[in-house]
Amino acid sequence: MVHKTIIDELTRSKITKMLGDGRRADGRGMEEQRPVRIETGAIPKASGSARVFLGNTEVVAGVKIQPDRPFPDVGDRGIFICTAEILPLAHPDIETGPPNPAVIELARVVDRGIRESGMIDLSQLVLEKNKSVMGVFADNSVIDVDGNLFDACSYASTAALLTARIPKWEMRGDAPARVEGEEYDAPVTTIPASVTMAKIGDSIVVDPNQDEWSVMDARVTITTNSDGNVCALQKGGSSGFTYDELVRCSELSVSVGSRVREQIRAKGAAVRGDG
Amino acid sequence: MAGQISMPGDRIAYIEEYVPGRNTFDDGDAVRAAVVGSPVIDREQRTASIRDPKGLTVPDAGDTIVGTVAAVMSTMFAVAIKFINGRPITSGVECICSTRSMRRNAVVALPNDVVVLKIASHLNGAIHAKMDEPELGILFTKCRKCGLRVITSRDGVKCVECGWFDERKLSSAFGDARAVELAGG
Amino acid sequence: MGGRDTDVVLLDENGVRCDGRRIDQTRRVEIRAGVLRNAHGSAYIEFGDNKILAGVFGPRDVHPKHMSDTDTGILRCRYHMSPFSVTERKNPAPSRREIEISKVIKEALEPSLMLEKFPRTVVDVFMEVLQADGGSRCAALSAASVALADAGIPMRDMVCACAAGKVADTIVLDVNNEEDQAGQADMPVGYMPNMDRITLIQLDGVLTPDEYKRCVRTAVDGCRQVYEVQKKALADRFFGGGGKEGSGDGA
Repeated sequence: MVHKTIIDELTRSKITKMLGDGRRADGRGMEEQRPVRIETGAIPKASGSARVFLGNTEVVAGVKIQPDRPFPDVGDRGIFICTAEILPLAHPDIETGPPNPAVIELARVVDRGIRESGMIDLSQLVLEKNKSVMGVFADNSVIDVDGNLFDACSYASTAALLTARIPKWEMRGDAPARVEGEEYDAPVTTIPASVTMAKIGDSIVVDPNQDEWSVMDARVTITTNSDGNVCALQKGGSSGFTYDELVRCSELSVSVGSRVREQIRAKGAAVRGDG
Repeated sequence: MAGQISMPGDRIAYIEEYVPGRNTFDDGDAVRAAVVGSPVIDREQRTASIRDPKGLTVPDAGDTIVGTVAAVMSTMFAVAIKFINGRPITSGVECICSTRSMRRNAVVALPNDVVVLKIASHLNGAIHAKMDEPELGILFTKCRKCGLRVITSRDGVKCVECGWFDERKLSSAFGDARAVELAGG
Repeated sequence: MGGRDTDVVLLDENGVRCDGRRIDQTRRVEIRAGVLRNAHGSAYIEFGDNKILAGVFGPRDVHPKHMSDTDTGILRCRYHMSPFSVTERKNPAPSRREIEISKVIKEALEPSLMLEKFPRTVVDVFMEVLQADGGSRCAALSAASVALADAGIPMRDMVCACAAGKVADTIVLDVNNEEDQAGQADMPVGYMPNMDRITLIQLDGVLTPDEYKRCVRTAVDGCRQVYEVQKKALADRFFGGGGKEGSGDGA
C-alpha cells in the first residue's frame, strides 16, 4: 500500500482501542498464540515435509538433501540453506518476480533461527572433507497469508527437518554415489522455536494476525532452543522497544516457544528412530 | 429445476423459449450457465438465469459500494472500491461518479475521502456510480485546509481546529465506521 | 522421445500397465475447490502423484497499467514448481519450461472465459506444483479451471485436461512418469466438453495418421472423465459445505 488511507487509520484506531482495553479483535489473550496445526509427510517425494497452519496462515515446507560442494571456508561441515517464498496465490498483494526485501528478510530470519540453534549437526554430513558434503535445503512456500509468516515458516521448516530421512551417499572413487535404499534420521541436536511479538501502541501481543501485522509499530522475533536459551533475534518495524519490553518478550518467547516445541517434538517422535 | 446445480456451459433452456438472464449466455441455440449455481427459470418474464451464491469482485448495477476517492476531476471523481454490499474486496477496481448535477460551489469529494455510492451502470468500459440518495455520499473526510477532523454543520462539514466550512454531499451515515469492519471480524 | 530401452514392462500380455492400470484408465484424480482463504477462487488437485494448488484473483485492477485493454479483460497465468516438487531440488526461478507451460495453459483457458465483460481488468491464475509427476500441465489446467469457476468468473465452459500417448506400440490414456520416460509419444489435451473444442494440444513423439486420430479421441475421453471430477468438486464446494470458511472476497 503506497499511502495510508482513512480506512487503514480506522482499522488501526479500532485495534489500538481494543488493545488498550486488554482485548484482541479475534478474542485471544495478549500472550496467546493462535492454534498451531502441523502435518508432516505432506510431500512424499521430498526427504522431509510439513504443512503448518498458524491460525489462517498456511505454509508448506519441503526438505531436499543431496550431495554438494562445501563452502570453501568450512570444508568439514555440510551445507544448510533455508529459503522462503510467498506464493502469489497466497494474498492479493503479492507480486510475481524477484523477491522483495520483506520476503528476503523472512527467509533470512527463518534460516538464522534454525542455523544458529545448531539444530542440524552439519559435521555429520561430510562425505569427503573439503570436497564433497551433503547439502540440506529447506524451502518454504507460503500458501495463505494471515500475518506472522516468520513463525509459521520456522515451524514448518523445523518439523520438515526433524522428520526428514537423509538418503545415504558415499564416495566411490572421485564422485559421490547413492547407496540405494539406505536412509537415516537427520542428526538433530536441538529443536528451535521462534516466537514473534508485535508492539502496537503501548501493548505487546504474541503472534500478530494480518490485521495486527498491518498496523503494528514494531515487532521482534526471538528463537529459543530446547534448553530455553535465546539463539537468534530480529527486530523489525519503524519504532523501538524499551529494555523492559525486550526482557518481557524474551520471557514470552521461552514460555510460548516451549509449547510449540513439544508439538514439533511429538511429530518427530512418531517417525524417528531415537523416539 | 429447483435444487439443481448448473455448471458453466450447461444448457439450461432453449433460446426459442427463454431469454438469457443474469449469469448466463446464449450460444445461438441454447441459454447456458456462465457460473456455478442454481438455475432460475422465470416463466412470466421468460428469462433463464443462474443464482450465484458467491458474487464477484466487480460490482453490478444496483450494488452499494464503499470506497476511497482515488482522483478528483472537474466533472467527476474516481473511487477505488473497497466493499461491495458490505463485503470487503481487494480487486482495486475503480468506478466513476459524475458531479455535473451537483451545486457549483459544493466541494463534492477530496482524494482519500471514504464514500458510499450506488452503481448505476457499466458503460463504455467504465463502471458508473451515483450519489443522489440520502444514504449516499461522504462517509469520512478531513478538513480541506488543515487536514484535521471535521464535524457536520448545515449542508456540509466544519473543521474543529480552524473552523473552515465546506458544503459537501454527506451520507446520512456520515462518520459511522460500521461500514468499515475489520476483515477478521 | 526415442523410446529408450528399459527393463520395466510397460504393457503386459493382458493389457495391464506398469502401474496396474488398463489402457483406458486414468490415474487417481481428486479435486477440492475453495481450499485457500485469501484467493478469490482456488482448487487443489491430486492427479496420480501430482499435487497442485491453483489460486485465482480478479477481475481486478491491472498493474502495470499499460498492460490493460480498454475493450476486454486480460488473463495472466503462472505455472510454477516448488523447489521440493521434483527429485533433484529445483531452482525457484522460473525455467523456460515453466514459462512455456504458463503460456499454453493461458491460451487453453482464454476461450472459456467471458473476459469481454470486464474491460481494463485482469484475472490472474497462479498454479503451484507442490509435487510433480507425469502430466502436470494437464492437472494444473484442470485445477485452474475449477479455481476460476470457484471465483465466479463467467465462463462459456469448463476446461478439462488429460493426456494420451503411445506406449509399447499401443495408444494408452494418461501417460505416467515411467511411461513418459520410456514411451513413444505423449499428447496432452485440454478440452471444453459442452462446446466440444480442444483448447490445448501438444505432442512429442511419432504417431501414424491412424494412431494420431485414436490418440486425440482417447485423450478427449480422458478429459470427460476429469470433467466429472471437476463437477463433483464444484458441487461439493457450492452445495455441500466444502471448502474453507470465508474463502477470498466471496465471503
